[in-house]
Amino acid sequence: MRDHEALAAFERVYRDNVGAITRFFARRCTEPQLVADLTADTFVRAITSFHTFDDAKGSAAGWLFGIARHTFAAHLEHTARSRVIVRKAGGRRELDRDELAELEARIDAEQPGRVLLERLASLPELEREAVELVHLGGLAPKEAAVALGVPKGAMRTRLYRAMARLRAVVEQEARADEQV
Amino acid sequence: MSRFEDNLWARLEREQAPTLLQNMATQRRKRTARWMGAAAGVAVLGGVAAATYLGGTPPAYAVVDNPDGSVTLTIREIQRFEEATAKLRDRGIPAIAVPLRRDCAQQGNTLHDPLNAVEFDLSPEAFNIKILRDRIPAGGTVVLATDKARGDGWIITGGVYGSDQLPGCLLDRSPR
Repeated sequence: MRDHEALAAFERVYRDNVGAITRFFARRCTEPQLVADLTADTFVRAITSFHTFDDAKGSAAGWLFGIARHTFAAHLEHTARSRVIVRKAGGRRELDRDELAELEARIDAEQPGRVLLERLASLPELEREAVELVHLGGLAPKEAAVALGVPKGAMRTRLYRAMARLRAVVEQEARADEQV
Repeated sequence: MSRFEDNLWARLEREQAPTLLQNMATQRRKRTARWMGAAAGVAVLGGVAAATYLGGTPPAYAVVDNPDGSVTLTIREIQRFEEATAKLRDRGIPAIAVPLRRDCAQQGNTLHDPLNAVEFDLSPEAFNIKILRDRIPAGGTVVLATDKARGDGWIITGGVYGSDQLPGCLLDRSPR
């Protein structure tokens, strides 16, 4: 791939996925500036490692969601690595009023997603993330497998188990409601 | 796209595009190093030489007459391999292209003497196949073959064979 082709290819990856990645963070954070910073960090990590991306091994969406997961984990742990990335990106960029309004609207739109994530909290982490990536993130199971770094067969098993557990939780809650 | 997304892209392009381009260039250099490493291991056995090209994007081919009478065929677009080989015939060099196969049983009659009538020189951008025409014996034909190698590269091989017993293919001995 020639240099100018690489930049154009990355731009396509960016434009195809930036909305979904922003929503991924909008389900986890209610601060517009933080959603913006984490989205920016994700794409800085992506563009600086794009030379390692191999579309024969999986889609760009799965690859990007994998980076987004690590970005969020780094944010939670306040690792040195996340600080380095922020510095490489030229530091935090303050959002203007229009951008703030846009991101606030997205955060509001993800409210049902945040509720669902709370309900998923009782599931093991990987099952929870599998359900989120497939049912909220819109990834195909095989793309979610790439994002989570698990074999495709294992992803199907996790999704099946997670949905079975969720059904059990919902049925238990329904029974509790009936008794009240 | 939204204003936030447009602004973020503008910033990424402005601040990170040089890093992307630098990383791509570094990766190309690493591939070239792998390629040159393969070239160092080129074996010339029984008049047959082989080399593996492990990366890069190929454009076109060219035939150049060297001052010493040899001819260099430079191939940058491997898909036009047969067409490039035909150019050798235009220069009076008996040469054919045949398939490269793992199950090739048609060995033909390899001419062992003189050796090194075909030399491979691998540059970062192309295959250079040098044909030393004065080392091709009477009744000899240069046989060249290529196919995809492991990864995104190509393997190219060839040698001098008796024109009366040419192979219909060459044996692919590359690792998989």
